[in-house]
Amino acid sequence: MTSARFDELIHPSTRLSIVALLAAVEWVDFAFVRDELGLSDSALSKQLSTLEEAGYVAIERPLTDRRRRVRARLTPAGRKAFEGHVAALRAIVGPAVT
Amino acid sequence: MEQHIPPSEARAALEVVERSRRRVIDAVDVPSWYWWGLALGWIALGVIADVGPGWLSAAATFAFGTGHASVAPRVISGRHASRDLSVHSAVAPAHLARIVIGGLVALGALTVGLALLASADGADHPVTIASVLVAVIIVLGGPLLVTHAREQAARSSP
Repeated sequence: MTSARFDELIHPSTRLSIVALLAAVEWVDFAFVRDELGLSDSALSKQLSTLEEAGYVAIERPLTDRRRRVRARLTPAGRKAFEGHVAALRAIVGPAVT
Repeated sequence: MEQHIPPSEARAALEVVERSRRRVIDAVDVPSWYWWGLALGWIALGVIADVGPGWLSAAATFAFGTGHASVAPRVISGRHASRDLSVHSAVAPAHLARIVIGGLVALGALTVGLALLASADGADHPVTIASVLVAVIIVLGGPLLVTHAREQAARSSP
């Protein structure tokens, strides 16, 4: 059972979209997040940096297909914070939300 | 802090979360090359069963099964269709792999049944005929199965 804990760092809409997307994957390519959420490179980089500094996101740069890719994944702390935040949102909305 | 968030804002935030989850569910897929490879392999086994010696048919079936077993675990979960992401196991349709494997067993039985019918009807190459029909089912039905599993995953709560 996840304990509800509102997280101000995650809550802003753009950051919440990013973290929710990361919560649904093991890892994801930077370009996928950028394209799916309609963000610019710089805007996404800025948000990921904030999340990385908080220890919520890990950035990896594996060398595949002879080109450098950038992958992001949620850390265990980030996943726990996201789940707690979602639980807090559900508690606010009420028991009707599953 | 949460006491200052109105329910409408919390609801909107949960919708943002759900939209992101669905973006990832939309990326769940089994690549088309898997269905085509399976279908062509099925036909090849049917042809060999009709025109080749028994030992060749047994060897080809073993090779096909071994090849499939080496590829399928990574492919049929639907979590690795794109090189851009790896879908979390909690989000991917949990039963997709089981349905695919169960479906293949059922299609194997169907192939045998159709081959017996074709043979009873006097067909020259009953297993080939049966395997071609089943191959069509694989190529057309495989993607439909994944679409259905994706829709089910989208409907289920995280």
